[in-house]
Amino acid sequence: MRLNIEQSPNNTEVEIIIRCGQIDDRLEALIQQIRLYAFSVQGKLEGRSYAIPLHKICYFESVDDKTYLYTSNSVYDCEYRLYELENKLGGTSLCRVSKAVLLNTTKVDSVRPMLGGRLEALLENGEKVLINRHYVAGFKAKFGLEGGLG
Amino acid sequence: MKRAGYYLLTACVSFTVLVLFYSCMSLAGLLLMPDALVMLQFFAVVCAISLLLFFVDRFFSGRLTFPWMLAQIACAIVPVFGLGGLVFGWFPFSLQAVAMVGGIVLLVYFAVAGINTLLSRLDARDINAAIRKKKNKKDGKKETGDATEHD
Repeated sequence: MRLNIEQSPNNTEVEIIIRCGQIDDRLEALIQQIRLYAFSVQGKLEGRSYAIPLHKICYFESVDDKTYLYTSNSVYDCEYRLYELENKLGGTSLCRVSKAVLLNTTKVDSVRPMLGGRLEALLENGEKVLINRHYVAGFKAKFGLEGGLG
Repeated sequence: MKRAGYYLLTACVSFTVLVLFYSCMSLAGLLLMPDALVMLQFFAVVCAISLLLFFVDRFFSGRLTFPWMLAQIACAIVPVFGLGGLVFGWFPFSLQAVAMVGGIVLLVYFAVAGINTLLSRLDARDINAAIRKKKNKKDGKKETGDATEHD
């Protein structure tokens, strides 16, 4: 693998081009990481706007038609709807885990089983997020595991 | 479609548990094995239960609560007594029959819940193994990086 970096004041934005014969698992993981670090989402806190990079986001939650963005220690207002974020960020480590939550799977420390086929994810910052049984298969897929029905 | 598959699977597991129960009780001489028509009626009732569960789960789309569990049990009991007892005439509405049928319904409900919990445990085990593998890879890369810097 060759890595070429072209640094110039004429370059107004960062562009990453990957030339390959075929995308294998390692390359797919690299592309996911690049997407995670390349994208950022606008969040508002106390009247100010911030560009929050994806790798700092723990999860998005929709409450009363409003979307909130949670990092390790802050909560921001987000202008996007959950389905819009899901469409935009579908190829990243973000995954829908319930009707109202989009979770960043890289922030998951461990999971434990709950009654009713649900799982509870423990995040790196100690928060707990419930994974609805209908979304377990999709959640498992983010870890390269095959899911079952539901 | 995936959600429909989940509820169909629940119906099939419930039906299997019910047939196993009746088979064991029939072999023990405690109950008569139902005929083919009644078996099909059993399947119709478990499908009705799954359909009700679908609506209850949508209503209780939040956290697991005791009312949710009670609603689920009600979803099992209503079709059994309504369809099975009143429409198909499986049993008389005597105290003994109602108690026995209620017991069978609870048995099937907890058997299916137990299977779901077991599958959940297996999923959690696999996911935790995948998370540990990723973390070990990251830690391995960090150690290699440090060694390079010191070189």
